[in-house]
Amino acid sequence: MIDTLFQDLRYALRTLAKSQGFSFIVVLTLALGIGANTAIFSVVHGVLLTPLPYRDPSRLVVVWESKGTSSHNVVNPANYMDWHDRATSFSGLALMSWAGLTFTGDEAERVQGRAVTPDFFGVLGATPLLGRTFNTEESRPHGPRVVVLSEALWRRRFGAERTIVGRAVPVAGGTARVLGVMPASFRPMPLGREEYWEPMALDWSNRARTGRYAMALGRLKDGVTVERAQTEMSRIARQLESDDPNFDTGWGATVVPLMEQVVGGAQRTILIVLGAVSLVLLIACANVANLMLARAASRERELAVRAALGASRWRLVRQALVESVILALAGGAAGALLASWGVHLLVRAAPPEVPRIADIRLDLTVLAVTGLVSMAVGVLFGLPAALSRSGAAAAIQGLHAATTRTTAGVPAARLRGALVIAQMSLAIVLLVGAGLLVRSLRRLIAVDPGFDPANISAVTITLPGATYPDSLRRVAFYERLLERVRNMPGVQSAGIISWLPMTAGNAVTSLTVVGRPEPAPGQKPTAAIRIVDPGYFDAMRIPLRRGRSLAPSDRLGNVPVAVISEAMAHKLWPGEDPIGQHVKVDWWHENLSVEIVGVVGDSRHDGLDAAFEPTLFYPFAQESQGGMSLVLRSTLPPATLTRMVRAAVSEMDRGLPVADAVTMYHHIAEMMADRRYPAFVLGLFAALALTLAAVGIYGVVSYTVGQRTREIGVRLALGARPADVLRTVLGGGLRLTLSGVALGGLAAGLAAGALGKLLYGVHPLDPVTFAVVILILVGVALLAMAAPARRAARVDPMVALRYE
Amino acid sequence: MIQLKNLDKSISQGNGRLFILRQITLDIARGEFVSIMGPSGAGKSTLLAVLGMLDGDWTGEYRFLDHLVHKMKPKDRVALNKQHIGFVFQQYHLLDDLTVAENLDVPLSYRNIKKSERDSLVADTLDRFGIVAKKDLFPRQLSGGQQQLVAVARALIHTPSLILADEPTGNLHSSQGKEIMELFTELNRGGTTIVQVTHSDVNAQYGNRIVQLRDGWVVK
Repeated sequence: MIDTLFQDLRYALRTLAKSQGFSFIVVLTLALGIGANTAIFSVVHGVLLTPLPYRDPSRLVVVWESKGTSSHNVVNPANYMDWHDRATSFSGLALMSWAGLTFTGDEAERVQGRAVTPDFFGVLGATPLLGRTFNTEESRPHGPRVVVLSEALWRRRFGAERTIVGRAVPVAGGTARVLGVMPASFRPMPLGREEYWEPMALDWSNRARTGRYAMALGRLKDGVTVERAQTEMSRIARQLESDDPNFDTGWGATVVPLMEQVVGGAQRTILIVLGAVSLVLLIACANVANLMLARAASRERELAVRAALGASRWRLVRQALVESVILALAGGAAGALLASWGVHLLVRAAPPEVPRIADIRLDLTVLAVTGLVSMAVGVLFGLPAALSRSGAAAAIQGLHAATTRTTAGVPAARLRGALVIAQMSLAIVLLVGAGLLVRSLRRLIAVDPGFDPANISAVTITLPGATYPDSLRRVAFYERLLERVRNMPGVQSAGIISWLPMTAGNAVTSLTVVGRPEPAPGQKPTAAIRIVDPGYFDAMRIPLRRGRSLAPSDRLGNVPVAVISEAMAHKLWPGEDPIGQHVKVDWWHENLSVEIVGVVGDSRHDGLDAAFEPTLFYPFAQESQGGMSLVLRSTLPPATLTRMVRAAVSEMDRGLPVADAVTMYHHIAEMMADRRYPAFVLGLFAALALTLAAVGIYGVVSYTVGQRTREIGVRLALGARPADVLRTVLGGGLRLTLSGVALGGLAAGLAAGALGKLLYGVHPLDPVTFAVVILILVGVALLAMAAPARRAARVDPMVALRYE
Repeated sequence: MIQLKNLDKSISQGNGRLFILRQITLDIARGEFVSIMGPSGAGKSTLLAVLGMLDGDWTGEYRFLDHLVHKMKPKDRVALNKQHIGFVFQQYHLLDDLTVAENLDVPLSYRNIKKSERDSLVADTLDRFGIVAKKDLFPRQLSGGQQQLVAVARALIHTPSLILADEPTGNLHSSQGKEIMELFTELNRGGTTIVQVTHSDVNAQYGNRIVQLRDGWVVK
């Protein structure tokens, strides 16, 4: 058995080496199919299948607050403290919030971090690479300033010095003592890219509720399910509603497995892409199966001789399969090489929002799966050819045929036609998917954001609380900076805003309209809140609709004023004039009455597909904060603007870090990444599928022309014109293409629904997309058929008949 | 050795059936050298395929040695073929990508024979047919006569009791053809039963009986 298998192997290698062109095309086709699948599987494996790098990660959950349609709302610390005291489902429940720290010294650097309760590391089951994490003492209010560094920050900024532990490192406003370093395997939590951790100072004796801004992380006790924890947390949330109806009415709690939180909406997209790439592999298999069938037909005589010499059906099948598996393994190996490049490309092209991007790699598991897929693919594409000519009954027929000419045989020809139809259908599905996503993107790009993003760049600056402890100092800094920036050559206008549009940060507050009855608990209207300078609206070209804009005179000590968006005017004062109305904002100074002095046009914040949010713009000179974004309208490149702003800031405060300037178009593109990336990947695969399908129809038409040379010669000798031959050949190919179009169109119609939320402003059955895709496919098929059809039309009847 | 009784072979054509063999009743004894003759389309090669159990789509009775072939499953027929029958074709049908020695090994590899034993049988056969010097050559490097010699050697390597030869000298010039026919005569003298299809009256004379076919019927 082994001996004869070895013999089959040797023979297969020899035959494949002899037909190098055939082997090359097959291996290349498979390499593209398997390579694309391996690359995407490495994403599936890294993101969806590999457990999170924490101890017993399946027991980790994130707990959010929830209200109405917002099921994943940030958490109020006092509510967390009550959860912590009352819940029995968790062996540990930690709280964390977003933080940032400016490391000073030779070069100032602003670093993202997390403020965490001391049990955070214990809940995750993580141990530091060096030193230790926080203790309870260090986590009390007014405790010492201590930090734990990530390995990346430790290596980048501190040269991986082991003596860092216990050392006080310079940070804005003083120093912070480094307690420990977490290993690189300790990955950032969802919704952040932290590089250090600091204690979250909670006052457990004070349960006053003001604001929601944190997220809770819990470890379920053994035997406790997510559902049971959810039931308990909902019960506690109801208790809190009655404990503090003003703050908690209408609020619940949502328990989400950490893996689900991390992977989130990406799961659907990844699975769609996996489905798409599987179609590419199927098309590649159909292509290769067709090539193998054609080859089997040309080797009919050999198979017949072998059958006549006593080869059983199984031996013939085995021999054919050995050949196809060798090809598939070679394709798999080449595919793995392509995949290593493809994974690199996918990771590079992926937006940072793609979860677990660091876990995407080509490892042994992925390669083992590639090997298995290759073997399966070998059997899949080899089987039709192996079975088509394996019977001893066919042997004598084959031997007779060999003495005259090789014939394709009607069943094999039908099978080849069916494979082309299948390829065309699958290509249509992919093309329609990609087409719908591309049209969605085009629709989205055409959406008016409410401001003019052209030539806008933004720079984020964070003033450390230690050196800029009060509003006066912050306002003074930003006013001086704005003055300098506005005078820079090439800068047309400039402004500042607290939460830049088209970025992740946002702030929403509840408020009260002065003069109206107090709403029931939990029924207060809400609005997004922004802190801006008077020049912001000009810089962004947001039009003033009514009243006046903010003015330089709107400062502390003067009447508190605000400008609102049209959406807020419509929401709170429908049919009324909001100018002169007063609101009290809960965000801060709950009792301060703020006068509405103007209404500006709506602008979108959370992306072009987001609805206009009711927004209240507050003058920064009346209420400022440390972190602000400077927006500049300028035709200068962002790098030049960065240099200029850094120079200006450095003259004012040497140690203050300034982030790179980023264009507004870049921010918009980032916000569309969840749509752009699948469109890019699906478009890539659709192009690949189209190419493979074109090769498939070319192969079949070319083979058919070769087989029918004598017939074509006879027809021409009998008076057919080359145009008639051309029509016959193209007609045959077109019939296959159109059958594929019909089937594929149907399948695409059924599959398009899966794109669901990825589509914007385009119906899954968009007729324009379907029509364009069909035209493209038919056009490409005609192009692919052109060469063999022309060859057929140029057949010299005398040569053809003499040859036969 | 072979007994055919009322054997019919037909294929569907349009609404009806086209008969290729009609009511064939034929006995071939062990050790006979039978020549089947007839015009093109008479059914000679088809009869050979039926005898060699390569074609199972027929009706009637076929007894081979003690086996009732018409009652056997396809798999068992293949096994019977493997055990007793060797084929020689007009086109030689050597496998192009295999050397002479490897071509000889092919039928043995289909018969579950150990590698060492196969190597020894191949060496003996190369020696017996005087083609040792050609063992590493490919078919395209041989003359037509040499190719047919290898094809005969391949048909005989597993010592079949029946050789079926379809126009074995059809592609050879007369002197090469004569050598092959003399080889068949020698094998027949050694006890091998031979059934050949031929158009040549001269070659038919090497056998001890001629069966004439016409339009699927045995006429003599």
